[in-house]
Amino acid sequence: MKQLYYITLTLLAIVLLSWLLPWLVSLCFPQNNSDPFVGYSPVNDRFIVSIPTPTGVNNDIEFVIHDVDPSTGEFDNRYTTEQRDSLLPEIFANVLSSQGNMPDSIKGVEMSMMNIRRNRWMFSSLPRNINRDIPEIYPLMESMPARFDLENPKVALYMPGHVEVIDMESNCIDSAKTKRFGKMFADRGFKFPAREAVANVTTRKAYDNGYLLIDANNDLYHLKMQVNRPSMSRIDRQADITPRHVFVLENGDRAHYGIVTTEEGRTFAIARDDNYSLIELDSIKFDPEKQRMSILKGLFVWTVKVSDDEKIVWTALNNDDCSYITSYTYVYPANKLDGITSWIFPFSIHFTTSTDMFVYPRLSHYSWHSIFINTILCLILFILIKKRNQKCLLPKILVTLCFGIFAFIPLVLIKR
Amino acid sequence: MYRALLYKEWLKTRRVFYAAIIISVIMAVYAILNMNSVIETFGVGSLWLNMIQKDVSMVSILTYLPLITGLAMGIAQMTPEMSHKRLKLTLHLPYPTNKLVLLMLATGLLQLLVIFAVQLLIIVIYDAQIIPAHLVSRVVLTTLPWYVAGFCAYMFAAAVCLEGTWFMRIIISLLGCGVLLILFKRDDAMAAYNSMLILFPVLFIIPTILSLGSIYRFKEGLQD
Repeated sequence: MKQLYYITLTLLAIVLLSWLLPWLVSLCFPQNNSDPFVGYSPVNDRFIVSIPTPTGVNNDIEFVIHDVDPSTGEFDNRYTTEQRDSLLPEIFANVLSSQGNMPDSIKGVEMSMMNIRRNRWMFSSLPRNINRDIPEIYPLMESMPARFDLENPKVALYMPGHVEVIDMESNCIDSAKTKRFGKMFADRGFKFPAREAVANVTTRKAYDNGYLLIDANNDLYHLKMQVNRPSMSRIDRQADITPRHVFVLENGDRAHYGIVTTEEGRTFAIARDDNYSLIELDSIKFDPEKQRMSILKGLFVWTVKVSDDEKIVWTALNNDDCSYITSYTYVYPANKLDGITSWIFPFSIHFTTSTDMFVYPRLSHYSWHSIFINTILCLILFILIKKRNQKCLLPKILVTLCFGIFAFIPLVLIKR
Repeated sequence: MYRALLYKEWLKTRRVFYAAIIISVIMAVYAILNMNSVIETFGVGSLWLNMIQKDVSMVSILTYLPLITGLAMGIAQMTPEMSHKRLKLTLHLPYPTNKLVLLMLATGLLQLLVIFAVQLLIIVIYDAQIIPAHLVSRVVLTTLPWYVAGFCAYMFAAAVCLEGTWFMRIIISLLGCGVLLILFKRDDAMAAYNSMLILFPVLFIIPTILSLGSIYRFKEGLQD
């Protein structure tokens, strides 16, 4: 029992230290990785990059502003803040208007505030919104409310192996609606269980586009409830498009139903036409489970930003057909702290990450560099054990060689 | 002997047990009244949306209650053994040491189980009337780490009290705090610990081993 007691204590200490020590170090030495501000200029057809740079005075930050040469991808001309405002008239419309510097039109497009607002929308996706325990209860809004204003949903779908419509007020199955929805799903050839069903269930939007669904056969469907009746359409896709995730868009321009990403990382916009045409976002590689994405659609281009822990890629796409115009890649500078800690810690354990909402132990940051420190710690431990006349020399040395400082601390502290 | 030991443990913990069960029921009723208030004000649909979209379990007021209950139970049961070295007398009883310690722990765990089960049952019975079974199970999965934390806090408190030296008491306390930190790492998401359910039994085994080990150390004379 005594042996088991010490082994348990040591192992528990190793697990907890390999979680807490790296976390404490990162807490003590925070790294500032501010993203640059990037916008596509319709004036010179280039990306304008504003990189926040410390001035060294009172923690103030100034922006170093460049444009990007599309042929080389390198910085070209340098601009002042005022020049940048003029180069990005859609983004800095308020500033330019207040100064009376807003142009009447660019490339024949009217640059009024109303026109800018009417044609601008934004979409964003975070991995943690997908990598979480998503309940299989889907509240369904009425898309054609009698009094025009959207109302909170009164029914919800439950799709275990068939569809059930639950009345929220009574928490009972609505048999009539269940029958109607069941028939509609069967008629459209929907295969259960649904792999994904996504909607924006909120009344804070202009209109409701309902649900986009992926069935067990990887087919795409669009479902709405209109006047208490289901309206469902199957979205035709090419054989090489295997949908992985869907996102519903409900923007002011009413041009799209949503966005689809595929297993291969391709991204499509679903056009709001009779055929639900899939328009590929040219050159965009996006994995919603690992990467963040934001799309800023303006009067001239779609600016698509895809980022992960290593880099950010901004891509400008043509407004009409989402064809590629240009892109700019920003690689995050190497984290100095990671370099130092890799020499101290052989690995680290994390229970949470920024990309999901789950808690479980995950090993990361394995490093062979720490073998040097581990060897020194082994020598110190060897001397201490000999001095204290303790037993189990070899196992303790081996454990310290593998787990380094995480094993050294408990083995030194916990004496028999 | 077995019954006498059980009675001894019950005498030590009954006050905490009654107080904890009353507080647990009051807090569960308070959580229900909160849900009722949301339903009355915004409608039951709002409660559904909160649970489905915003990951609001509506019982977050109970988060740290099992932890406090577990700590209180552990301290109430084991502190009398610490004072005036009564543990020595307990260990001199004609009963196997391992069985004795496990019986002490089982008594506490059983009482905690009753307290937590009553509280959870109240919540589940109410929830089952207003939300589907699938969402009720998510609420249960969300509260599960809190109750495991309660059991863990009790067992670590017991291990600390049964330990004879202050240095090791501090070490075990720190390890206990670390384990409990893990169980409250993400209280802003529902069913976040689903992937860790398989590891929960380990959280019972570790402090049990520590309690038994502490007793062996105590018997060997390792005490301040």
